[in-house]
Parts: sequence; structure tokens; C-alpha cells
Amino acid sequence: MSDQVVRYQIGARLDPAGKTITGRETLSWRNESAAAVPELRFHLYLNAFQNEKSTFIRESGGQLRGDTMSKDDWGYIEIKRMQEAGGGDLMGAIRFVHPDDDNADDRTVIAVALPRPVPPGGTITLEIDFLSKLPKVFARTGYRQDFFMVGQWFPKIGVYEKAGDRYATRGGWNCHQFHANTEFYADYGVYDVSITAPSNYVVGATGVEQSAVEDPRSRQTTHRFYQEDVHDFAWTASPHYIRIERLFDPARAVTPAEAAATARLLGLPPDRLRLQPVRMILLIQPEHRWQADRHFRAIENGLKWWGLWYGAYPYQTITVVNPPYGANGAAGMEYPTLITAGTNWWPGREEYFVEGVVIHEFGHQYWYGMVGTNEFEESWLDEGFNTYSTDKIVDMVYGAGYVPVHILGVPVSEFLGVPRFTFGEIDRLAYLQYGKHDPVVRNGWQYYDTFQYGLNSYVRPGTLLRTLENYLGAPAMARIMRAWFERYRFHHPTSVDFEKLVNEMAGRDMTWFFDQFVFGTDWLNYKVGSVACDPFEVKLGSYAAGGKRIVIDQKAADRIAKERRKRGERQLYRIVVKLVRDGESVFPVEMRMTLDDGETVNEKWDGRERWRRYEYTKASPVKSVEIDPERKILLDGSFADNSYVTQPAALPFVKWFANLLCWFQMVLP
Amino acid sequence: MTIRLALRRGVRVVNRAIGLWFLFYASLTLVAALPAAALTAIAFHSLGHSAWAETLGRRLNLEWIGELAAVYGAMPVQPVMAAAIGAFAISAVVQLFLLGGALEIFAKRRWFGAATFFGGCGRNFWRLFRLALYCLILLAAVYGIDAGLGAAAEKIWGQGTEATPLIHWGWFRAALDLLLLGWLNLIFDYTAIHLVAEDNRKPFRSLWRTFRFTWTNFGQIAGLAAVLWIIRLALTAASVGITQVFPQLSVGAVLVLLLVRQGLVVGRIWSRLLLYASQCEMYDEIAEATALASPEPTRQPGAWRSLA
Repeated sequence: MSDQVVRYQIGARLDPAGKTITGRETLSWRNESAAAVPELRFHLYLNAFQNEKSTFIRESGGQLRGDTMSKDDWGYIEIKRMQEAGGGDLMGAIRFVHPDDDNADDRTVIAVALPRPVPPGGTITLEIDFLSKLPKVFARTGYRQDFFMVGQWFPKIGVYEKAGDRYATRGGWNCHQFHANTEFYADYGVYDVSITAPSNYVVGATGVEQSAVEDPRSRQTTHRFYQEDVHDFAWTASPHYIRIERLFDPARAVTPAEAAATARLLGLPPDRLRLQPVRMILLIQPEHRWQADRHFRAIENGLKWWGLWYGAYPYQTITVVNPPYGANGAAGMEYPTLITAGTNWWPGREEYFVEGVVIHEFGHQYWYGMVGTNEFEESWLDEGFNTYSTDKIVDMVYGAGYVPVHILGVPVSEFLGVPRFTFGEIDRLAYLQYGKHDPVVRNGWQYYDTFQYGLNSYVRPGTLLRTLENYLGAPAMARIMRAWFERYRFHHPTSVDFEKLVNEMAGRDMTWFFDQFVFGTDWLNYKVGSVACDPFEVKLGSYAAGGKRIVIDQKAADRIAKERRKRGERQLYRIVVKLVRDGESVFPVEMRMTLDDGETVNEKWDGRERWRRYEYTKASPVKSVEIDPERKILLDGSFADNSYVTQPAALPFVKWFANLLCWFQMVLP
Repeated sequence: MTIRLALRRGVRVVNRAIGLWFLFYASLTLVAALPAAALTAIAFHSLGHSAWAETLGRRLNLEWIGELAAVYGAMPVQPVMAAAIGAFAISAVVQLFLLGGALEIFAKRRWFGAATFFGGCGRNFWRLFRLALYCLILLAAVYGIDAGLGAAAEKIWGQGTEATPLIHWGWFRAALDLLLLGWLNLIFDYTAIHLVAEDNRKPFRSLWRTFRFTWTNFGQIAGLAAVLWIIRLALTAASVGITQVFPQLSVGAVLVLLLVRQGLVVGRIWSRLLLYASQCEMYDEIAEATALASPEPTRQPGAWRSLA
């Protein structure tokens, strides 16, 4: 399926006591470019955790996603031997490089000068011996007691981008240092990995387990995993895992009605939506065993809806890892065919964060896994797309759920009557805190801060994609997303590729949208500036009529008005509405004015001017004016100022005051 | 004295002093209304003329909270916390002030009247205030014990891979905290009764003697308090439950529900006053009995005097 640029054959032995992995790696790399490549570059990710001088620790301060790195047990990777197969030793040709910053102490990337360049189309094979020391669980990888989550653990070659690939104008390595706010980028290939661990350990990994051979003398078992068409390999081991396996059976999971509705949405024949069976493997902690069904249902929903909407999941297995207590740093992470979930001791029945994490991480099999975007440089293409897709599935399948509030481990949201929220609402809430610091597209380490990275990688893209869907329509967006997957599966597309695809599929130029909301930093907000509604009255004054002057004073005016009413003339009103573009961004908007008699007036405004005035003469006073009445433009910074009602609704305020009063009466001494 | 008898006598005393209910209810409601009104005013400022208000009134949407936070720059956590602590402190001081008056009536078996009540409030406030400060120190000690138990658990299980022992230990800690805080509450209550009944101005000395008193008679004293706390909890649960069940779809419905919940608030205040009154009865009775049972009768009648 992929062009398989790399081929890794790795033998790894876990030392649970020393928290180390001794590895022997045979790597074959093919030069896809038209030029000879004189140097190779490798990621040594674990060196991000070797001391406080690494770029990762400098940037993060040793804290990530609410987790603090332990300073009493560092992680690192050492290359013990590197040589070209059948060739000479390359250890002397290794030097540490730091392409992203001036941190000479960062040891997360090496360059290896080759005695002979790899010719165009040629393949080089290296043999590498390495020792990986895992840190205490932090930033996706590490150990906790006898639990091991082993990610970013082997010397991994970067991506050689030839001229024309992504944004490259000439050939070169795309091999960034490990940053606090970045994830990964690699070429597709084949991974054939043998892991030796104590026999009482349950081992799970990327790919399909081919064999498990025990050496009774050493009480060690070697598990061999094999997977093609992936760009990373991670594994986990623990003696405490409960391993549960179930089969995803599309015939049972997908109803004919669901398949038909999706086919209509996508404009495809139903047979194009055929899914394939998948072995679902859950490695769960004993104290979470009772949550196994929830995990399986979530992964089934992922397999089903991602499969129907975007394309069938092509691998044979998906392994879901449930990290133990205290290993949150390893939770909520994606690797090819292996994801880590996140739960707690007692998740509430209608708190859907357990499901949300599983579905989100599964979604990365598509947005990062198969559509292999560069997470260092364009994180929104995986996290933002995935936020958008996750929100759609969780909100559609599960609906609004409770925000988790736990007291002494017990979920209490349901008992307290806390309101329920959808994932989409929570994401827009976070998006609204956007401080106009950064565009969505930016190198991960160059955002203003970690919050802005998260905001511009997850929730702002999620919100802008939902706005795009509302603007183009659900069928158009569904077809765009499917085309994105089908066209770029096992490739490395960019934001510009997505923009081109949208323009092509939507049949109109959406450059304005991308310029403002993906590549720009401006804020969007439309509001009702003012609404005036005055009855037409007889105007006082001196008027020239029939060659003489008539003075209309208040008495005369009242008399004329009375006569008009007697004649049955309807009272007319002059209504003036002013709409204001408060933000810098421009978006076409609709305005709906509703009158007291029920008449509605709709207007479309291209939104380009700073403000727009509408004037009407109507036989009924105005009741309300609303911009974007269906609230499609989720990027709008405030829905509250999008409308104006002449008579404020009493109910919400009376209700809120009453509830707050009773609540304070309850909690005050 | 049995708990039932103390309650029966307490009910009689509290039901004679309906004005007290009103005073306690009015003070609580006034203090509660201030933050409620402030928050509603913020809501009205944002949504007063917005069509979104109706939608949000039916189902609160977090996005609006996000809009408010964005408008105010960020969530003003520190001012909000300061305001919350301030409201809590004001309420506590007001209740302490009123407690002096209530005890003046219950402990000295006087009829409720404005002069008696507010005279008692003024006369007893500073001694009760000092007592409250001493109890705050004891409260800190309780939290210290709790923190110590937490640290011990962290040391034993904190580096493990299971949350279960920590959760179960947390339950144990919570139960112990409840017990200690309940005991502390009883010590405060009975010391307050002693200070008022005996017109004693030395809360620190009384506090330590009350330790012994509550320890010796723990079953009766704690049983009485438990009965009344169960009543209060039931009323609170009823208030929460009825709010969830009763749909607030019109202003009329909101007001009806508000009335019902205010009835429950009054019920909670009544149960609190009943606690004070019954405790006074209980204490008086135990004190008398202690004095009678003593081989060498104390110089003055009444257990309070024996404690003094």
C-alpha cells in the first residue's frame, strides 16, 4: 500500500530491573530522490530526557500535559555500534546536530556522514546496536514499577524530502529535534521486531504477533511482531495486564441503514464502504477490567465510523493499552495499530472522556497514521482533523455527557445535576480563549506557548473545520474528507494540499477562508450594532402647501393621527438595523429580522464593510434581529452579541438567580 | 437524658421562637442573594438583549462561559476565589453573631424578644468569636492529621500502579475527618453553650474542659447531633433532587420551585436551631446529673459550674 522507504528489523531485550532495552537494529533505507545522498539523519528521541539541557526539557520545564518529569531517573539512548552492512564502522562519522535551535547540548538528532553517498534509487543497510534507558513515565514513554510503555525508543531515520515533496525546494533531511510541543514524522515501511521479555509479562505492540517462543531456562519469551505500511513501532509490557481480544465484525457492527445513509452522504455506491474484520486487543489493568466493554464499544465505534466515512481500516489488529495508575504520561497516545487510552478508577456512566480518548487515539490511525502529515510542522493536520472527527463521532454516538467531577474517586456529576456538554461545545469554549498569537500552521516549537500550541493544533482547527462543514454543507465536507484520505493515504500531504483539495471539491475558491483562519491570526466577530424601531408619526412644523403655509402643532398632529386610525390606516414603523463587523476577519453572514406579527426578513451580507445599515418600513414592530441565526459560524467570537431582542426574556435570568440563590444558601455556613 | 427527650424539649423551645427562624433565614438569604445577584447581573449584561438567552435558559452551554472568559481576558480566578472566601467569611461571622442571641434564649430559657436576642448577640459575640478562632487552630490540626495520613498513603502506595488502595484510604481519611470535624463541631457547640449559660468570658479554658465533657458523654451528644445532621442532609438532598426532577419551563414554575426550596431552606434552619436548643437541653441535663452523681457535690449546682 505504501512505498516502503524503510525496513526495520529489530531485536530488543527488556531488562525490567534496569529499565533498559538492549537492541540490535538492521535498517534498510531507500533513496527515493534523483540525487545522491551523502549523509543520513536519525532521531534519538529518548535523549530528550537525559538531562536538563535538552531542548525538550528547556522548552517544557520538565512538565507536559499536567505531568512532571522525575528528576531522579533520566532516560537516554546510546548507540553502541553502527556500521554499514558489509561495510565499515560508522561510529566515527556520527555527530550531533541541532537543526531547529542553537542548543548544542541537545542530543536528539544525529547526522551520519557516509563514506559513499547513497545513489538515486539505491538502498543502504545499516546495523546498529543501541541501549535505551527509559525514564519514569513522562511525555508518552517510560516505566512505572513493572509497567513499560516503550515509544520513541530506537534510532529512527528521518525523512529525506526530495525537491517537490511537501514544501521542499531542494532535497534535504526533515529530521527535527524533539521539542516539548512536537510529535513525529517518518517514512512508511516494514517493521519486523522481536521483543524478549520475562515470560510472565504480557506484551503488546504495533502489528501482528507472529510468534511467542519461550526459553524455559531463562524464563524469557521472545515475541515477534510484524507490520507493513506503518511509520513507527511502539510496544508495551507488564505482568499485570489482562489481555482481552474481540473481533470487530462489520456485518454485525454496521446496520444496512447506516451504510446506506453514509453512501448517500458520500455519493458512493454502498459496496465502496465495505469494511473488514479487525482483531481488537485490549490490554487493561485489573482494577479497570470492569470497564472493558466501554473500551471495546468505543473502539468499535471508531472502526465503524472512520471506516464508513473515510475508508476501511486496512490493518488486521488494533491494540488498546490501558496504562496503570500514575502513568498518565503514557495515556492518550497514538502509534500505528497501537494506542494508549486513558481512564480513571471510576468513570461516570455518562462521562464520555474514556470513549473520547479511545476514539481520538484510534482516529490517529487515519490522521497521522495513514495520512502521514508532518506533526513537527503542521500539527493541525493530525490533531485538528482528529479533533473534528472525534467530536462528530462522540457527539453523534454518545451525545452530551457530564464533565467529570470526582470526589474520593466517586463520580458525582450526575448526582449534583451538573449540566451536560458535547465535545463540540467544550472545544469551542477553548477556541474562544484564542489570543490571536499564532496562525494555525506553524512549527510546533514556535508557538507563543504550550497553550497556544494546543489551541491552534486541536480546538481551533476543530472549530474551523466544523465551520467549514456548516458553510459548504455536510455532504460536501464528507466528500472532501474522504478524498483527503483516499488521495493522500500513505503520503505526506500539507496544509496547501488540503486547501487545494477543498477548492477543487467545493467547486469554489475558498482561499479567503484558509488565508484568514488557517494561515492568519485575525479574529472573527459579527454583532448587532443597534436596532431602532420608531412608529411613523405626524411630524410637527411649518409646511408650504397650496401656496400657503400650514403649521402642524401637537394638537393638529394628534387630530390627524386620530383621523388616520378612524380610516383604518395601519400604523407603520421605521426600522433601522445596523450590523457591525467587530473582528478583522471577514465571513459572509445571514441576518434574520423577525417582527411581532411573525413576518421574517432575511438578508445576506458579504461582511466586507465594517458595518452595514438596513432600513425597512413595516406594519409591525421588530421583535428580534439575529446574525447567523442557525449558529453555523462557530468561529464567531461571540454568539451572545449576534442578536438583539427588544423584550429580554425573563425566564433564564429568574431561573439562574433562583438556582444560584438556593445553591449559595446551601453552601454558605 | 435520652436523645428523644432532648429533641422533644428542643422542638418545644424552637417552635416558641419563630422570630428566630426568620432572623436566621433572612441573614442567610441576604448573604446568599449578594453573589447570586452579582452573577445574574453579569449574565444579564452579556445576554439581556440576546436571543441566545432563551436557548441557554433551557440548557446551559459551556460556550457562553467561554465567551465570558474571553471577554474578561481570562477566567479571573483570584478575584472570584477572593469573593467566594469573602462571602463565606461574612456569612460565618453573621451566623456567629446570631448564634450568640439564639443561645441566650435557649441556654438561659428566655422568651424570644428583640431586646433579649440582640442583647445576647452583642454580649456573646466576642467570646464566641475568640472561641471560633481557637477552633480554627483545632481545625488546622485536623487538616494536619489528614495531610499526614495522605502523605503516609503516598509513601506506601503512591508509587504503585493501582489507585484502589489510595481511593480506599481516601475513604478512610474522609470518614476520620468527618468524625474529627464532627467532634470539633460538638466541642465548639457545647463550649459556646457553656460560655453563654455561665456568662463565662474564658473560651480557651472552657474549650479544654469541654473536650473531656464531650468525650465522656460522646454517645448521647454525637447521637443527638447525628439525628439532626441526617435531617439536614435529607432536606439538602430533597432540595437537589426536586431541582433535578421539577422542570423550570416558565417563570411561574421557577417561582413555585423556588418557594418549595425556600421551604426546605427554612426546614434546614429550623433543624439547625433545633440542634442548638436540644444541645442546650441535653447539656443542662447531663450537667445536673453529673453534679448529683458526684460523691462530693460541687460548690455550685450544674455541670457547667463543675466544669468551670
